Parts: sequence; structure tokens; C-alpha cells
Amino acid sequence: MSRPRRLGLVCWLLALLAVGTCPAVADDGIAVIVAPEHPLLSLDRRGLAAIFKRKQRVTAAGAALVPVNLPASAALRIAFSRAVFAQDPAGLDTYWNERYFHGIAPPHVVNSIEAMLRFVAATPGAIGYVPACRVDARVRVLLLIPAALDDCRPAR
Amino acid sequence: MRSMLRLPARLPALPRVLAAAIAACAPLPAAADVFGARYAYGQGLQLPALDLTFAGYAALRAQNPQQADARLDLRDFSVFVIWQPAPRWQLFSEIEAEHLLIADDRGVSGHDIEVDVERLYVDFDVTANLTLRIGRYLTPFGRWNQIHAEPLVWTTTRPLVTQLAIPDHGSGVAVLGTLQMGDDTLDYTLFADDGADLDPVNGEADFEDVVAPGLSNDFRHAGGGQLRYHFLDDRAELAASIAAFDMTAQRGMQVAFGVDGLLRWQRLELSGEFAFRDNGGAGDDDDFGGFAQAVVRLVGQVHGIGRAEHYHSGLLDRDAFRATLGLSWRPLPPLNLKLEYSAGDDPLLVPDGVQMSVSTLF
Repeated sequence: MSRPRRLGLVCWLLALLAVGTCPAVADDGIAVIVAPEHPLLSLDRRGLAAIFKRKQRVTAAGAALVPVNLPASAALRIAFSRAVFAQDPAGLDTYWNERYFHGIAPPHVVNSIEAMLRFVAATPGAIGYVPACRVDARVRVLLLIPAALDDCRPAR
Repeated sequence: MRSMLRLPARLPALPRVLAAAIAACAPLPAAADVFGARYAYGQGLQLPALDLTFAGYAALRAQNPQQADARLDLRDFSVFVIWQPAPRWQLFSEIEAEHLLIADDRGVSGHDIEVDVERLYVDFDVTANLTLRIGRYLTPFGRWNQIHAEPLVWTTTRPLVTQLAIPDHGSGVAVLGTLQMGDDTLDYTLFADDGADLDPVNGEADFEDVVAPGLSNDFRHAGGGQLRYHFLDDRAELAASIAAFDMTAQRGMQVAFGVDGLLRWQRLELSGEFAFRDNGGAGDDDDFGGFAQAVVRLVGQVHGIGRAEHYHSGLLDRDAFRATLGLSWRPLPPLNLKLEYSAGDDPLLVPDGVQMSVSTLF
């Protein structure tokens, strides 16, 4: 192996080691988050859709599930809605009107990523989402949704 | 006091003015801050500290049928009270006042007010996929009946099959839930009705939007169910309904079957409902009918609607066709302004005429 190739290999190994010291969550995509003591341990996209459409409102053990959204105009909310429901938030207006008629309100809305983190950490049963790069020790990641986010700035 | 009213952020000027006007008509109680009250237009007044939500809808209708006088009718004012004292429990009630104010060529009157308990039930989430419901509920037969509120449907006139095929309410017990089927979902509902014993005004229910003298709109006893399959990312649904029942005014066991479907694709929404009712001992002739409806988004939130329907009533010995053309403008999701013209061949069941309505969830 030539010297430049060996150098390249060493660089790759160092890079891999550096990645290994990062948190387990990839820093792109949308992280679905809950409080560390939340009863749900795993979730798939279909289960997530059922919770955010409020078709499933309690866990199997009867604990409340409290989905939380960002405002409908937030870029992250739009990305989340497209990834989970294959529709923009406005595409669900008819659905929510019909659910409202049956006494089911849409998810609670918070105004910022930081508010989402605080609400999820402090509210029993809450389940929300943030850019994966914004996850911190206050919350646990339940599901990582691949999504092309513009950057890691808080989406307001 | 800090304002708790919230309006959608980006709205065209006129809808925003309308929304502001409606929101301004909903003053908050002085104790709003104490109960953490939140009001959002179309999502009701929430009092989280009391686990209570007040919500509802209203509809103002203008009619000019060919065989009757034109009139303006504050037709529906429904208030929902929702109480959720614990995660698994929810009490839902809908009290509806109809015909609060009628204006016609004889003047303005408020003599025909009807106040009904439309729905009153308790839900208990037994598991994540099974809810037990006890009380008075909308009959789970077809789609229209379960979303019949004026702001939710595309036309002011209601297809006959959604009214005459089966009573619109039941009183008793139901189990319902949603099951995951791969990427699709299946909603199920089973119900058992004992209206004769549980409904204190059994036998007095009239029809929502049709004059059908001699017909009952109340079960004495009934049982049935519905399966509703959602697919194509919830853009399509197909449902089958069945009910066996006897009615307050028509004794003898009857059986009804129904299918309905809906498809939303880009600017287009196609839907239809069809039902057959074996009148059994109540009549020699059966009931059957249905409708097919197409809705297309024309510009902005203005939609054009076309519908054709047919209903054969064996009990009334009548056969009716009706075609309806209309427009619906939804400047805001909770607000619906409609204009339509219907042409029918039976002046009793499907009178010709123009109708307009303004309706809103609040």
C-alpha cells in the first residue's frame, strides 16, 4: 500500500472513531421524542401516525398519549407531516374538522423547538419531535425519521 | 386580561376579518386565567384546569324552494361539552337548538325552536384499540350521517339515502376502534340499541332535512356494525354497514345493508353511498337508493359540487331522483359558505329550489 493511501486509511479510521464518540442519534432527520420515563419504548411510523391523528389516545396500559405539534407554518412541522402522513398540515384540515365534530381535538401546539423540548420533558405522556441535532438529555429518542431539513436552526 | 384568542397566522384579508369578527363574538369568562382557558377559532374553548372543552357549530340557511315561501333560518346552533376527567374516560354531549330564528314574508319569528340532545355518551378506552361507548350516539351507518354537521359537508341539501335508510341516532352501547393493517387502517364499530327503554323521547325524532309523514326516525331495538377501510395514505376509504332493527312506528324486523366510498385525488373528491333496506313485515316493498358526488377545487378554497341521487321508499311508495349543483367556499377551515340548486322529480321528498348557507365550527 502506498504512503498516501495509508495516510488516507488512517484519516478514515480517525474519522470513524470521532463519529463513535458522538451521541447515538444521527444529527440529521427528525427525532420523535418523549420524556425518559415515558411508557412507550419503541414506535414505528404507522403507530406514530395513529397517535398524531389521535386514533390511539392511550397506551396498552391505559396511560395517556399526548402528541405535540409545532405551528402549521413551521418548516419542521411541514416536513414531519409529509413524512408521517404524506400530506401538508393543511391537507389534514378536513380530517380535524371531522374529528372535532366527535369531540377529538388536534394535538396541542407549541411555538418553538425549545418549547417542544420543555413540554415533552415536563408533561406525562407527551410525544413530540425536533431536529435530531437538537436532542438533549431532557428527552429520549423514540424514532428517527429520515428527512431533508435545511439546517439545524430552530424552526419557528 | 391577556388575550387568549388565537387566529391562524397567515390569512387573506377578508377571511381574517371574518375570523376576527367570529372570535370577537366569543367573550371569555372573567376567570379565564384561573382555568388556563384557551380559545382557538374552530377548536373550541378549552379549560384545561377543569378538563373541559366547550365547542360547537352554527348554521344559517336561506331557502327558496319552488313550492314554498323563501325563508331565512338560523337552523342549527349546537354546543358540545366535552369532559375528560381521566385519560381513558371522556364524556361528550351535544345539545342542539334548531330554528332559533326564522325570517320569511310573514316576518321574523322564534316560535319553532326545537332543542334536542343530539348526542350524550361516555367513552371508555378499554385498550389502545378498543373504546366502549354508552349513551346516545350517531348511528354508524354510512359516512354522511356521522359527519352531517353543516360546516363539514359540501351541500346544504342532504341526500335521501343518508336520512331515510336508517334512523340517525341510536341509544345503547357501542364498541369501536382502529386496527392497523400494514400501511392502511381499519375502523370498526359494533352497536346495540335499546331506544324503546333508554330514549325518553323515543318515537318523537323527526328527519333532519326531509318531510316524510308516517315514517319513523327512531329505533325500538337495533344491532349492527360498520367496517371502514382507509388506504392510499388515507386519501381513500371504503366501508360496509349492516343493521337489523325494528322501528317505533313500523313494527317488525328490518335489515339494512350499506356501502360507501370516498377518494381524494389532487383537486378532486369522489364519494358515494348506497343502501338497501329489507322492510320485512313493515311493508311489502323494500327501500333502496344512493348518491354519487363529485367535488372539484376550482380556485383557492372554492369548490364546485355535482351530485345525482335516487331513492325508492317502499314504505312511502315513492320514487325520487334529484340532481344538485353547488359551490362551496371555505375561506377558513371551520367556515363554509354554500350556494346550490337542486332539481328533483318529487315535490314532497326532493323539492326543486335554491339554497344558501353560512356555517361555522366555533
